[in-house]
Amino acid sequence: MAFLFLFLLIPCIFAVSGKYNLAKITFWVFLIALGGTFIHHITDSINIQL
Amino acid sequence: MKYSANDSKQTSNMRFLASKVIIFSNVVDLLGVFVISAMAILIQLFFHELPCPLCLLQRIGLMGVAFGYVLNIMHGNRANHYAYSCIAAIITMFISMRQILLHIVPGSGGYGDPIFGIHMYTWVFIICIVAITWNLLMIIIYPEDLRHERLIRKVKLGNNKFIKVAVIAYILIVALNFALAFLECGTTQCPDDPTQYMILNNYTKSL
Repeated sequence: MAFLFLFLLIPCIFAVSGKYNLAKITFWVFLIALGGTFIHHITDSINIQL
Repeated sequence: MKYSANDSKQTSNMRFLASKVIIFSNVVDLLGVFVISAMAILIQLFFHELPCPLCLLQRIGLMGVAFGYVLNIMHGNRANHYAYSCIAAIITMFISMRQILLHIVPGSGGYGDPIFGIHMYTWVFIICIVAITWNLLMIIIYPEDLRHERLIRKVKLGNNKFIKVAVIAYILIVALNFALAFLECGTTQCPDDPTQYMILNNYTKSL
């Protein structure tokens, strides 16, 4: 879970250093990771079978 | 209806002023997220309230909301930056809603102490609703066209020293959160009700 902060730190650094496109792409990676972790948390805690 | 050259100049000046106000509103939004995150860290460090997995996800999500504002500040005000903020706010809203529903039954208790009578996850839900509404309003009232492109080049904030400090403070608080989350849970998923900094405790035990 700590690595999600790292996933956010990377696009921030790209945004500040002027690499606009890389910042946008890495932010998408972050959003997918955040959503994925949340879905994993739900399925894990209520123990459902898909 | 006919417009004179004077009207056109006035409209142009108004647009310039409006874009300056709107781009400064991004700084206010960024500072808002910074204050909320700093308060959460202060509560964690001084009141020893360790964040649960859902609390951590909400923190990360709120900081993701601010990323759109960083893009606006550094690369000009654009509708797609507000959309990025909006997506992050929607995901964060779902995360906080999940935690509200976990504690919604009267008598089941809540996680952490309430602030002004409301728990932190409920505050996050309210903040996300406000952020989504604000971002969508900005997308509606600030459309992009050719004149807008000229304005983006005219109205720049990236070189302002105060703005640079605000952006760097935001990045530092993300880094600090990474360090705290790593000390609490390491690389694994955090326990549902954490009572100690796992990595820190293991390190001190090994000494």
